[in-house]
Amino acid sequence: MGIKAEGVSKLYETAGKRRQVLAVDGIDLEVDEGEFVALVGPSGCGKSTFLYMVGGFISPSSGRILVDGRAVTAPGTDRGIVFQEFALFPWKTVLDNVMYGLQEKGLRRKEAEATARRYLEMTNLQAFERVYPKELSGGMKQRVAIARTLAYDPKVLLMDEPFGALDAQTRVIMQDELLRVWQGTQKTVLFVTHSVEEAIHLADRVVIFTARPGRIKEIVPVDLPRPRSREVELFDRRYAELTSRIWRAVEEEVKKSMELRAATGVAP
Amino acid sequence: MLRQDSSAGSPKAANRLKNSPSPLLVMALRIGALIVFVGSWETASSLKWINPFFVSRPSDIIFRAYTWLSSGYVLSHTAITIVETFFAFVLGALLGAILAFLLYRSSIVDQALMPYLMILNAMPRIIFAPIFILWFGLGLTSKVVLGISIVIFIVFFSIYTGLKEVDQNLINKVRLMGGSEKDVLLEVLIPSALSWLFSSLKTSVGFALVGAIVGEYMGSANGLGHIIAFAEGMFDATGVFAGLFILSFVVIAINWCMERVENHFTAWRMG
Repeated sequence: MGIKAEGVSKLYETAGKRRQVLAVDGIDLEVDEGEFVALVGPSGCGKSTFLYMVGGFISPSSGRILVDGRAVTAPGTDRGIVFQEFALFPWKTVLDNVMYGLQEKGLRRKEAEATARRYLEMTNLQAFERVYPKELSGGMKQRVAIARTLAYDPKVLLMDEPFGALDAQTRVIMQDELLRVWQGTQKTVLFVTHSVEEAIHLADRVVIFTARPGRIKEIVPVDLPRPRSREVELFDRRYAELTSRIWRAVEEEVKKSMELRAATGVAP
Repeated sequence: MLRQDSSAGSPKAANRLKNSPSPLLVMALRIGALIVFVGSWETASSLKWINPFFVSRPSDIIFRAYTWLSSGYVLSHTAITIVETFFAFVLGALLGAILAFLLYRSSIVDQALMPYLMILNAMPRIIFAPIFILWFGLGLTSKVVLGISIVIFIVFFSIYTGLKEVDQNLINKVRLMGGSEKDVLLEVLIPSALSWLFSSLKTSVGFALVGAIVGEYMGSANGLGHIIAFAEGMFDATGVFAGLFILSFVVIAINWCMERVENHFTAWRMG
């Protein structure tokens, strides 16, 4: 199930049109089925807005987004989203959290339970199924959120800085777990991140957004072999070249967006 | 000085050791404080250092409370107070919750009504007791209405704040998992609202009781508040204190039950 964006723009207006903000401007992007694409760019560049438009939470002001050839008009079960802040049901146990989407899909309790357990095993959480989210660490919460999303088997995974709230070590472990799970399922992934290293480690292609209004500045293919390992990347010249190339492009935009902010006095 | 052993190695553990006295000592101090207070009251009153007509005596108060309990005189009154408290809480919470959902769902209604709710909440409801008695009579209704008038705002404001703070991502997530608006309501909004209701449970039930007692005190033929007011009318200090004594046990019992209910329903909040 691929994703196709055609001239997608988003214009935010305050009541009475006194203030207009063009958040996203003319995005054309094609993501193949099973491809892992990372979106990077300065804060407030509209990459998350774009992700939410693919999710169907926000409608574009112009242009259109196709998922599997059909135009996106509303949220739907063909897409799954993972947020930075986990968004678990605090009053449900880990197992019930993962089961929710399955029961929503119409599975009976028994089947939903079995499926949920399979995904909890995949994310190494089987020992915690009776526990409430409050008792889990950040990394574990995010694993629950990922298991919950994978469990109802969306064809497209939308991830909005999913590891942004985690500490550095947990983050690295989670990235590798995500890659392992993704390679097992071959889902299409759109992954928003601030980290250039993360984008290169994970993605087939890295899409660099410009400062506001968000346009696509450059799309960089990451032609590193998989499975990727940190040790190899540490000494691989191609990895270093890619990192510096992408980082330079991002840096340029980050500076622009800081100047823009300084000029308009608008906080991010 | 602190003795160092293996478990007290860290500064934190040492601190804990230093700061928490043994439970036995705490219990002994509590009982000691009670004995000193009640003992000096009893002595001062018996020796007429203070006038027992105004302040009574602990032994008289306990004897009076015992007589009231054993004759059953106080039980029916307590039952009535509890019934009033129950209705005031349930109806107040229900109305408060409905109001909160209404304002949460419609920002027009929110903006239009919020100032009035603020003003109403700012008024001391106790002042309304005589008016409610005038409108609804000396019976149960006026006390329930007084209780509702307090509870409704406590519940409204806590649920309203709770709804405003509901995780928007969770709502989006439910929608993306194929959830309808009904699912958002049943799976996200109502559980959040309930959790806020339960965390304000002790306060709101407490105020429902205050409403009942004050209502009875101001004008009634029944209830614990009436017993206290009646004793006061007879210049019977012993009766007033005996009434307060029984009332405090009712409050403790209700608090204990509410804590149980709260813990049961908010288990997911515990770390």
